[in-house]
Amino acid sequence: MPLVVISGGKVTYSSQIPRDVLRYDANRDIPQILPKVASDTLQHSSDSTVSGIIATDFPQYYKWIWLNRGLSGSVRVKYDIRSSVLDECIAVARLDVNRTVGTLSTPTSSDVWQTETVDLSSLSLYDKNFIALTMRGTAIGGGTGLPQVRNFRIYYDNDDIHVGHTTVDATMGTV
Amino acid sequence: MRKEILMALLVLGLAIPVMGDANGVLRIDSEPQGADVYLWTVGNYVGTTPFYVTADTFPINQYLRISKDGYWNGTFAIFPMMFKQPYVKAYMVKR
Repeated sequence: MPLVVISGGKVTYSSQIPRDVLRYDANRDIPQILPKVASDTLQHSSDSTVSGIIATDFPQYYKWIWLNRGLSGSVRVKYDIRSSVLDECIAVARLDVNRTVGTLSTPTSSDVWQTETVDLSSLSLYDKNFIALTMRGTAIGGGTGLPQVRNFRIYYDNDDIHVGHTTVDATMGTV
Repeated sequence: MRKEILMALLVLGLAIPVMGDANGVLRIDSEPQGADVYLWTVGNYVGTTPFYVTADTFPINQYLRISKDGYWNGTFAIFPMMFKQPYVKAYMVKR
C-alpha cells in the first residue's frame, strides 16, 4: 500500500508509486496545487469587440472565458470599455465570476477605449467555471450609442499545469 | 406575433433567426466553423457549427463540449439569458 504524505505543500511517497503518477518541481512542490499569482503574464484572452445594449440592468453576459481546468489563487483581469459613439451613452461593465456579482467599471461616455484592471484574489475555480463580462449603456440626450468591450484578458504566473480556455461571445450582430 | 412570423417563415422554408429572446432562436457558431458540439455529460451530439436552436427544445443550463480536429476541446454552457442575443460564438484554441 503506497503511502503519500502531503504537508505544507511538500509531498513524499514510497518507492512503490510510479514516478509518472506525481510530478513535482525542484522544491518538491506539486505545481497543479500551487496557487496562481496575479501578474502581467497573459494566460487567457478574448479580444474581439462586442456591443451591448441600452438597459437599466445588466441583461446578460457578453464575453465569457471558460476554464478547461481549475485554478486557485489570484489573477489579474483587464478589459477595454467605451461608448461606441462619443457622448451618446454612458457605458458600464461588470466582471463576474461564475455568476457572482463582481466589480463595476468606471463609467465612461467616451469613444476612446478605457482599460479596466481588476485583481481577483482567493479564487477557487474548477474546470468548466467561467469569468465573464456584462455591460449596459445609459442613453444620454436621446442618443443611440452602445457600450462596447474588447480585449478581455486574464494574467497570472504559475501556469506549469496549463489551464486552457474556451472563449464565448454573445452579440446582436453577425459573428 | 413573433412566433407567428417564425412559423410562417419555417413553413416557407426560410429558416432565418428572429431576434433572440426567451422564446427565440439562437445561432451557435464557432471560430473556426465546422466544430461538433456534444452534451458534456452524456456525449450526445447536438450539432455542427453554425446551427440554430430554440430555447424550448435546446438543453439549456447544461455543459456542452465543442470539438474539432487540430483544436483543444472546449466547454461552455447555453444559459437562458443567452437567448436575449441572437448569436453566440465560441472561439477554439489551436493545439
